[in-house]
Amino acid sequence: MAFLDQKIAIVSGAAQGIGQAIVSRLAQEGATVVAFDTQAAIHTVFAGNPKVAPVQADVSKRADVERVVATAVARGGVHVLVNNAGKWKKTPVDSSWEQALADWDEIMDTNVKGVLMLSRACVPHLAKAGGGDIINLSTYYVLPARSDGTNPPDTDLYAASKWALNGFTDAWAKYLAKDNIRVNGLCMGATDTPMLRGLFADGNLPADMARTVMSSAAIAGQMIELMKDGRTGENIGAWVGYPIELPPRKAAHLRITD
Amino acid sequence: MKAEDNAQALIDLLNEGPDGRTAENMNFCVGRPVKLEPPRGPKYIVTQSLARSSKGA
Repeated sequence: MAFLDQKIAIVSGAAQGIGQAIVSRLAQEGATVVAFDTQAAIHTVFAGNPKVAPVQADVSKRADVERVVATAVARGGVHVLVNNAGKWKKTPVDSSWEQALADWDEIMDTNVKGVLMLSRACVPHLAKAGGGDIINLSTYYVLPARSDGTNPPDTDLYAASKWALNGFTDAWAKYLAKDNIRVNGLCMGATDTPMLRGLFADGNLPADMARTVMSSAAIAGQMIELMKDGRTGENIGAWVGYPIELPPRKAAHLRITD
Repeated sequence: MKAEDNAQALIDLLNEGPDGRTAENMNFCVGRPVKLEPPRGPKYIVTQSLARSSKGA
């Protein structure tokens, strides 16, 4: 019997990159996965995989979120939620007011409000199931820097959105412990995804980055180990040049920021 | 804690002037003195990145 047999998972931003890899791993572990994305490609990426129920939906829209959760409930409930969808763009602090406010709405509606809505919608079902996991995909920007260049100075809104997730992860882990719902963050560095490749004009990673970049499959594997471990309220880092593994559990006051 | 002690810490921070610390969170906790501790250096940004940013690179 596989680890997640009879379990239902929801993954946002599932059509590519880390989200796609996470869907594949959850399905391998036996889960039925409601995989959703704004991209129509969500209907073809997992074609032929009977464990995946694709939905085209936008996590920043409440009606779409409710439709996604209803799809999972119709299949038996919600046991795992992976808040993976995220937007990244350069937002220099000296941009115009109009640009800054438009960037705020674009990034925060997906990276923060989307996580809020999807999690709010799933919590009653996770509790009803007797517990489960919420995984928030974050960034190593929120963990102590290990190398130069880890924190681009012109991505303040993206960084702020991921620091906001620290509050969700910490508060929800404490509040939802009574329901046996574990809440953790995955905080990875450069991972070979379409989002990362999109930063470069030709869509190719620079040679030095290509040699060291992490794989989406490795991050998905780290997430499965985290779920099997059973800890809660912790940010788990993954850094280029370091083993991608589950570290020893930390003291309570160090779980989010160290 | 007293609000005026927090305000004084803020003034002390400003008084560090142009060569003062940056990218640092001050941690004021009940039961401990409300005052600036020695600069720790940035935790979430490596020093090289900060130096490069300040030069506009």
